[in-house]
Amino acid sequence: MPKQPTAPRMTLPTLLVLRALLEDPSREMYGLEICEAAGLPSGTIHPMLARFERLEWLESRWEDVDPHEAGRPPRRYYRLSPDGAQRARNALTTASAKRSAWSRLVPGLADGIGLA
Amino acid sequence: MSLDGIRTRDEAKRALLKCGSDIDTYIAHFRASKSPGPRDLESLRTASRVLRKTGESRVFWSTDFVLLSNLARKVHDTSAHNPYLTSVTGEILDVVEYLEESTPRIYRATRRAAARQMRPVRSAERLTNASVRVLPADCRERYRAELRGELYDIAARGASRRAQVIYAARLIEHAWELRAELKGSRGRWSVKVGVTMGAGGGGSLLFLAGWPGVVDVAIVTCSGLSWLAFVVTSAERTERVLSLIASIFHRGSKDDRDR
Repeated sequence: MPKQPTAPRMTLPTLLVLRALLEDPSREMYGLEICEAAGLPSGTIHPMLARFERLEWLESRWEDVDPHEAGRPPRRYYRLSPDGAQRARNALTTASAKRSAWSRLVPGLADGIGLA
Repeated sequence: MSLDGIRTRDEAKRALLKCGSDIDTYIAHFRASKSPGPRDLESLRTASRVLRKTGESRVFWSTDFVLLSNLARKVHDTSAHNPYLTSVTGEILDVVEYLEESTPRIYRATRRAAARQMRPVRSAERLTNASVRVLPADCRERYRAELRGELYDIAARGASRRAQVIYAARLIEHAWELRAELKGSRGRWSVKVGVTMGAGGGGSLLFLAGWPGVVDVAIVTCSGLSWLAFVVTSAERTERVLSLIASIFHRGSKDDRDR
Protein backbone atom coordinates (compact mmCIF):
# COMPACT_ATOMS: atom_id res chain seq x y z
CA MET A 1 0.00 0.00 0.00
CA PRO A 2 1.64 3.27 -1.07
CA LYS A 3 2.28 5.79 1.64
CA GLN A 4 0.63 9.17 1.32
CA PRO A 5 3.33 11.77 1.82
CA THR A 6 2.23 14.98 3.48
CA ALA A 7 4.04 17.32 1.08
CA PRO A 8 6.23 16.91 -1.97
CA ARG A 9 9.85 17.96 -2.05
CA MET A 10 10.02 21.36 -3.68
CA THR A 11 13.13 21.16 -5.82
CA LEU A 12 13.85 23.67 -8.54
CA PRO A 13 12.58 21.42 -11.38
CA THR A 14 9.43 20.75 -9.37
CA LEU A 15 8.80 24.46 -8.95
CA LEU A 16 9.41 25.04 -12.66
CA VAL A 17 6.85 22.36 -13.56
CA LEU A 18 4.29 23.85 -11.17
CA ARG A 19 4.87 27.31 -12.57
CA ALA A 20 4.36 26.00 -16.13
CA LEU A 21 1.12 24.27 -15.14
CA LEU A 22 -0.12 27.34 -13.28
CA GLU A 23 0.24 29.62 -16.28
CA ASP A 24 -3.18 28.39 -17.36
CA PRO A 25 -4.51 25.91 -14.77
CA SER A 26 -7.53 24.99 -16.87
CA ARG A 27 -5.42 24.02 -19.87
CA GLU A 28 -4.54 20.39 -20.45
CA MET A 29 -0.92 19.73 -21.42
CA TYR A 30 0.93 16.59 -22.40
CA GLY A 31 4.39 15.62 -21.17
CA LEU A 32 6.47 17.21 -23.91
CA GLU A 33 4.50 20.44 -23.72
CA ILE A 34 5.10 20.65 -19.98
CA CYS A 35 8.83 20.01 -20.50
CA GLU A 36 9.02 22.83 -23.01
CA ALA A 37 6.97 25.22 -20.89
CA ALA A 38 9.11 24.46 -17.84
CA GLY A 39 12.37 24.66 -19.78
CA LEU A 40 13.37 21.16 -18.69
CA PRO A 41 14.86 18.42 -20.89
CA SER A 42 12.31 16.01 -22.35
CA GLY A 43 11.98 12.72 -20.50
CA THR A 44 12.77 14.15 -17.07
CA ILE A 45 9.41 15.16 -15.68
CA HIS A 46 7.46 11.92 -15.38
CA PRO A 47 8.56 11.22 -11.79
CA MET A 48 7.33 14.69 -10.84
CA LEU A 49 4.04 14.23 -12.68
CA ALA A 50 3.56 10.84 -11.02
CA ARG A 51 4.22 12.40 -7.62
CA PHE A 52 1.68 15.17 -8.15
CA GLU A 53 -0.85 12.74 -9.52
CA ARG A 54 -0.43 10.53 -6.45
CA LEU A 55 -0.97 13.58 -4.26
CA GLU A 56 -4.05 14.44 -6.36
CA TRP A 57 -2.66 17.82 -7.36
CA LEU A 58 -2.85 16.66 -10.97
CA GLU A 59 -5.53 14.95 -13.03
CA SER A 60 -4.71 13.07 -16.20
CA ARG A 61 -6.62 11.45 -19.02
CA TRP A 62 -5.94 9.84 -22.38
CA GLU A 63 -6.51 11.93 -25.48
CA ASP A 64 -9.73 10.93 -27.22
CA VAL A 65 -8.30 10.27 -30.68
CA ASP A 66 -8.24 7.40 -33.14
CA PRO A 67 -4.54 6.50 -33.61
CA HIS A 68 -5.20 5.44 -37.23
CA GLU A 69 -6.84 8.75 -38.08
CA ALA A 70 -4.26 10.85 -36.25
CA GLY A 71 -1.33 8.76 -37.47
CA ARG A 72 0.20 8.73 -33.97
CA PRO A 73 -0.47 7.18 -30.56
CA PRO A 74 -2.80 9.07 -28.20
CA ARG A 75 -1.27 11.49 -25.70
CA ARG A 76 -1.70 11.58 -21.97
CA TYR A 77 -2.98 15.00 -20.92
CA TYR A 78 -2.39 16.53 -17.49
CA ARG A 79 -4.16 19.36 -15.71
CA LEU A 80 -4.01 20.79 -12.21
CA SER A 81 -7.00 19.86 -10.07
CA PRO A 82 -8.74 22.85 -8.42
CA ASP A 83 -7.26 21.86 -5.06
CA GLY A 84 -3.89 21.16 -6.69
CA ALA A 85 -3.82 24.59 -8.32
CA GLN A 86 -4.28 26.25 -4.94
CA ARG A 87 -1.61 24.07 -3.34
CA ALA A 88 0.75 24.77 -6.23
CA ARG A 89 0.24 28.52 -5.79
CA ASN A 90 0.97 28.19 -2.09
CA ALA A 91 4.11 26.16 -2.83
CA LEU A 92 5.38 28.77 -5.28
CA THR A 93 4.65 31.56 -2.82
CA THR A 94 6.53 29.72 -0.07
CA ALA A 95 9.47 29.04 -2.39
CA SER A 96 9.52 32.66 -3.45
CA ALA A 97 9.57 33.79 0.19
CA LYS A 98 12.47 31.43 0.94
CA ARG A 99 14.31 32.71 -2.09
CA SER A 100 13.85 36.29 -0.90
CA ALA A 101 15.27 35.37 2.48
CA TRP A 102 18.28 33.72 0.85
CA SER A 103 18.80 36.59 -1.55
CA ARG A 104 19.13 38.93 1.40
CA LEU A 105 21.96 36.74 2.66
CA VAL A 106 23.49 35.97 -0.74
CA PRO A 107 23.01 38.90 -3.14
CA GLY A 108 22.55 37.79 -6.73
CA LEU A 109 20.82 34.51 -5.88
CA ALA A 110 17.42 35.97 -6.81
CA ASP A 111 18.34 36.28 -10.47
CA GLY A 112 19.90 32.84 -10.60
CA ILE A 113 16.88 30.59 -10.24
CA GLY A 114 14.29 32.75 -11.97
CA LEU A 115 11.38 32.07 -9.69
CA ALA A 116 9.84 35.48 -9.63
CA MET B 1 -0.31 10.67 -68.56
CA SER B 2 -0.14 7.48 -66.53
CA LEU B 3 -0.22 7.11 -62.80
CA ASP B 4 0.43 3.37 -62.89
CA GLY B 5 3.20 2.24 -60.62
CA ILE B 6 2.95 5.13 -58.16
CA ARG B 7 3.86 3.70 -54.79
CA THR B 8 5.46 6.51 -52.84
CA ARG B 9 4.70 10.07 -51.88
CA ASP B 10 7.57 11.38 -54.00
CA GLU B 11 6.32 9.57 -57.08
CA ALA B 12 2.82 10.93 -56.49
CA LYS B 13 4.26 14.40 -56.02
CA ARG B 14 6.18 14.24 -59.30
CA ALA B 15 3.08 13.03 -61.17
CA LEU B 16 0.97 15.85 -59.79
CA LEU B 17 3.55 18.49 -60.62
CA LYS B 18 3.69 17.15 -64.17
CA CYS B 19 -0.07 17.40 -64.41
CA GLY B 20 0.08 21.01 -63.18
CA SER B 21 2.73 21.75 -65.76
CA ASP B 22 0.50 20.20 -68.49
CA ILE B 23 -2.33 22.49 -67.50
CA ASP B 24 0.02 25.47 -67.70
CA THR B 25 0.84 24.42 -71.26
CA TYR B 26 -2.87 24.30 -72.08
CA ILE B 27 -3.29 27.76 -70.61
CA ALA B 28 -0.50 29.04 -72.84
CA HIS B 29 -2.32 27.52 -75.86
CA PHE B 30 -5.54 29.22 -74.83
CA ARG B 31 -3.79 32.52 -74.44
CA ALA B 32 -2.24 32.20 -77.92
CA SER B 33 -5.54 31.35 -79.60
CA LYS B 34 -7.38 34.03 -77.58
CA SER B 35 -10.45 31.86 -77.81
CA PRO B 36 -11.44 31.34 -74.17
CA GLY B 37 -12.96 34.02 -72.04
CA PRO B 38 -11.06 35.47 -69.06
CA ARG B 39 -13.25 33.51 -66.66
CA ASP B 40 -12.27 30.19 -68.26
CA LEU B 41 -8.62 31.11 -68.12
CA GLU B 42 -8.93 32.07 -64.47
CA SER B 43 -10.58 28.72 -63.72
CA LEU B 44 -7.74 26.88 -65.40
CA ARG B 45 -5.14 28.92 -63.56
CA THR B 46 -6.86 28.01 -60.32
CA ALA B 47 -6.83 24.37 -61.38
CA SER B 48 -3.10 24.55 -62.06
CA ARG B 49 -2.49 26.22 -58.70
CA VAL B 50 -4.50 23.57 -56.89
CA LEU B 51 -2.57 20.78 -58.60
CA ARG B 52 0.78 22.32 -57.74
CA LYS B 53 -0.27 22.94 -54.17
CA THR B 54 -1.43 19.34 -53.88
CA GLY B 55 1.79 18.07 -55.38
CA GLU B 56 4.00 20.17 -53.16
CA SER B 57 2.17 19.55 -49.92
CA ARG B 58 3.40 16.83 -47.58
CA VAL B 59 -0.09 15.49 -47.02
CA PHE B 60 -2.21 14.51 -49.95
CA TRP B 61 -5.57 16.30 -49.89
CA SER B 62 -8.21 14.46 -51.86
CA THR B 63 -10.56 17.45 -51.54
CA ASP B 64 -8.27 19.37 -53.88
CA PHE B 65 -9.09 16.90 -56.63
CA VAL B 66 -12.80 17.49 -56.15
CA LEU B 67 -12.21 21.20 -56.59
CA LEU B 68 -10.02 20.57 -59.64
CA SER B 69 -12.59 18.27 -61.17
CA ASN B 70 -15.39 20.82 -60.68
CA LEU B 71 -13.28 23.56 -62.25
CA ALA B 72 -12.40 21.44 -65.29
CA ARG B 73 -16.06 20.43 -65.82
CA LYS B 74 -17.14 24.03 -65.58
CA VAL B 75 -14.65 25.11 -68.23
CA HIS B 76 -15.66 22.17 -70.42
CA ASP B 77 -19.38 23.05 -70.18
CA THR B 78 -18.85 26.71 -70.96
CA SER B 79 -16.58 26.07 -73.93
CA ALA B 80 -19.09 24.37 -76.22
CA HIS B 81 -18.84 27.25 -78.69
CA ASN B 82 -15.15 26.54 -79.35
CA PRO B 83 -14.25 23.07 -80.71
CA TYR B 84 -10.54 23.51 -79.89
CA LEU B 85 -11.29 24.51 -76.30
CA THR B 86 -13.75 21.63 -75.96
CA SER B 87 -11.17 19.10 -77.04
CA VAL B 88 -8.48 20.51 -74.74
CA THR B 89 -10.75 20.71 -71.68
CA GLY B 90 -11.86 17.18 -72.54
CA GLU B 91 -8.26 16.06 -72.18
CA ILE B 92 -7.95 17.84 -68.85
CA LEU B 93 -11.12 16.12 -67.69
CA ASP B 94 -9.66 12.75 -68.66
CA VAL B 95 -6.58 13.49 -66.57
CA VAL B 96 -8.69 14.71 -63.67
CA GLU B 97 -10.94 11.66 -63.78
CA TYR B 98 -7.89 9.43 -63.86
CA LEU B 99 -6.51 11.28 -60.85
CA GLU B 100 -9.84 10.98 -59.04
CA GLU B 101 -9.83 7.23 -59.55
CA SER B 102 -6.23 6.99 -58.39
CA THR B 103 -6.69 9.27 -55.42
CA PRO B 104 -7.45 6.63 -52.79
CA ARG B 105 -4.40 4.59 -53.85
CA ILE B 106 -2.08 7.60 -53.88
CA TYR B 107 -3.60 8.83 -50.65
CA ARG B 108 -2.86 5.52 -48.95
CA ALA B 109 0.68 5.50 -50.37
CA THR B 110 1.37 9.02 -49.11
CA ARG B 111 -0.07 8.25 -45.68
CA ARG B 112 2.12 5.15 -45.45
CA ALA B 113 5.18 7.18 -46.47
CA ALA B 114 4.34 9.90 -43.94
CA ALA B 115 3.83 7.30 -41.21
CA ARG B 116 7.22 5.75 -42.00
CA GLN B 117 8.81 9.19 -41.73
CA MET B 118 7.14 9.82 -38.36
CA ARG B 119 8.11 6.50 -36.87
CA PRO B 120 10.80 6.77 -34.16
CA VAL B 121 14.12 4.99 -34.60
CA ARG B 122 14.12 1.44 -33.33
CA SER B 123 16.94 1.90 -30.83
CA ALA B 124 15.03 4.72 -29.12
CA GLU B 125 11.90 2.56 -29.03
CA ARG B 126 13.84 -0.29 -27.44
CA LEU B 127 15.36 2.00 -24.80
CA THR B 128 11.92 3.42 -24.05
CA ASN B 129 10.52 -0.07 -23.60
CA ALA B 130 13.47 -0.96 -21.36
CA SER B 131 12.80 2.07 -19.16
CA VAL B 132 9.23 0.86 -18.64
CA ARG B 133 10.29 -2.61 -17.53
CA VAL B 134 11.52 -1.38 -14.14
CA LEU B 135 8.14 0.18 -13.32
CA PRO B 136 5.52 -1.61 -11.22
CA ALA B 137 3.62 -4.13 -13.35
CA ASP B 138 0.27 -2.36 -13.05
CA CYS B 139 1.71 0.91 -14.40
CA ARG B 140 3.77 -0.48 -17.26
CA GLU B 141 1.10 -0.41 -19.96
CA ARG B 142 0.12 3.16 -19.21
CA TYR B 143 3.68 4.46 -19.26
CA ARG B 144 4.63 2.38 -22.28
CA ALA B 145 1.83 4.04 -24.25
CA GLU B 146 2.51 7.49 -22.83
CA LEU B 147 6.27 7.46 -23.43
CA ARG B 148 5.82 5.88 -26.85
CA GLY B 149 3.42 8.70 -27.74
CA GLU B 150 5.99 11.28 -26.69
CA LEU B 151 8.68 9.54 -28.71
CA TYR B 152 6.38 9.66 -31.75
CA ASP B 153 5.84 13.38 -31.18
CA ILE B 154 9.58 13.95 -31.01
CA ALA B 155 10.14 11.94 -34.18
CA ALA B 156 7.29 13.74 -35.96
CA ARG B 157 8.96 17.06 -35.22
CA GLY B 158 11.92 15.82 -37.22
CA ALA B 159 14.22 15.06 -34.28
CA SER B 160 17.45 13.37 -35.29
CA ARG B 161 18.24 9.77 -34.37
CA ARG B 162 20.64 11.08 -31.71
CA ALA B 163 17.99 13.34 -30.17
CA GLN B 164 15.53 10.45 -30.00
CA VAL B 165 18.08 8.17 -28.35
CA ILE B 166 19.00 10.91 -25.85
CA TYR B 167 15.32 11.29 -24.96
CA ALA B 168 15.05 7.54 -24.37
CA ALA B 169 18.29 7.50 -22.35
CA ARG B 170 16.87 10.21 -20.09
CA LEU B 171 13.82 8.03 -19.53
CA ILE B 172 16.09 5.21 -18.40
CA GLU B 173 18.00 7.60 -16.16
CA HIS B 174 14.77 8.63 -14.41
CA ALA B 175 13.10 5.22 -14.51
CA TRP B 176 14.06 4.27 -10.94
CA GLU B 177 12.91 7.62 -9.67
CA LEU B 178 9.59 7.13 -11.44
CA ARG B 179 9.32 3.63 -10.03
CA ALA B 180 9.87 4.99 -6.51
CA GLU B 181 7.16 7.61 -7.06
CA LEU B 182 4.70 5.06 -8.43
CA LYS B 183 5.33 2.69 -5.54
CA GLY B 184 5.04 5.57 -3.10
CA SER B 185 8.40 4.50 -1.65
CA ARG B 186 9.44 7.90 -0.35
CA GLY B 187 11.83 7.23 2.49
CA ARG B 188 13.21 4.01 1.01
CA TRP B 189 16.56 3.73 -0.70
CA SER B 190 16.73 4.63 -4.35
CA VAL B 191 19.75 4.03 -6.55
CA LYS B 192 20.93 6.03 -9.48
CA VAL B 193 23.98 5.40 -11.62
CA GLY B 194 25.46 7.87 -14.07
CA VAL B 195 28.62 7.94 -16.15
CA THR B 196 30.39 11.16 -17.08
CA MET B 197 33.18 11.37 -19.60
CA GLY B 198 36.14 13.57 -18.77
CA ALA B 199 37.82 15.99 -21.13
CA GLY B 200 40.92 13.81 -21.29
CA GLY B 201 38.97 10.72 -22.34
CA GLY B 202 38.93 9.20 -18.85
CA GLY B 203 35.62 8.40 -17.22
CA SER B 204 34.29 8.68 -13.72
CA LEU B 205 31.44 6.66 -12.37
CA LEU B 206 29.05 8.48 -10.16
CA PHE B 207 27.19 6.11 -7.93
CA LEU B 208 24.44 7.84 -6.09
CA ALA B 209 22.36 6.09 -3.48
CA GLY B 210 19.82 8.15 -1.71
CA TRP B 211 17.25 8.16 0.99
CA PRO B 212 15.35 10.96 -0.68
CA GLY B 213 15.19 14.14 1.30
CA VAL B 214 17.29 12.76 4.14
CA VAL B 215 20.75 11.75 3.04
CA ASP B 216 22.54 10.98 -0.19
CA VAL B 217 25.67 8.88 -0.48
CA ALA B 218 27.90 9.25 -3.50
CA ILE B 219 30.95 7.31 -4.59
CA VAL B 220 33.11 9.12 -7.11
CA THR B 221 35.95 7.24 -8.76
CA CYS B 222 38.57 9.30 -10.50
CA SER B 223 42.13 8.42 -11.50
CA GLY B 224 42.05 5.26 -9.42
CA LEU B 225 40.91 7.01 -6.24
CA SER B 226 37.51 6.62 -4.69
CA TRP B 227 35.78 9.38 -2.84
CA LEU B 228 32.87 8.88 -0.57
CA ALA B 229 30.57 11.75 0.16
CA PHE B 230 27.59 12.05 2.46
CA VAL B 231 25.44 15.00 1.67
CA VAL B 232 22.38 15.96 3.63
CA THR B 233 20.24 17.58 1.00
CA SER B 234 17.96 16.67 -1.87
CA ALA B 235 19.11 14.14 -4.44
CA GLU B 236 18.95 16.62 -7.32
CA ARG B 237 21.22 19.10 -5.60
CA THR B 238 23.66 16.35 -4.64
CA GLU B 239 23.83 15.20 -8.19
CA ARG B 240 24.65 18.68 -9.42
CA VAL B 241 27.37 19.12 -6.79
CA LEU B 242 28.87 15.74 -7.70
CA SER B 243 28.97 16.60 -11.38
CA LEU B 244 30.87 19.74 -10.46
CA ILE B 245 33.28 17.77 -8.26
CA ALA B 246 33.83 15.24 -11.04
CA SER B 247 34.62 17.97 -13.56
CA ILE B 248 37.16 19.52 -11.13
CA PHE B 249 38.84 16.12 -10.63
CA HIS B 250 39.01 15.57 -14.37
CA ARG B 251 40.61 18.93 -14.88
CA GLY B 252 43.12 18.07 -12.15
CA SER B 253 44.03 14.69 -13.64
CA LYS B 254 44.43 16.25 -17.09
CA ASP B 255 46.79 18.85 -15.63
CA ASP B 256 48.82 16.02 -14.00
CA ARG B 257 49.14 14.25 -17.33
CA ASP B 258 50.19 17.44 -19.10
CA ARG B 259 52.84 18.04 -16.47
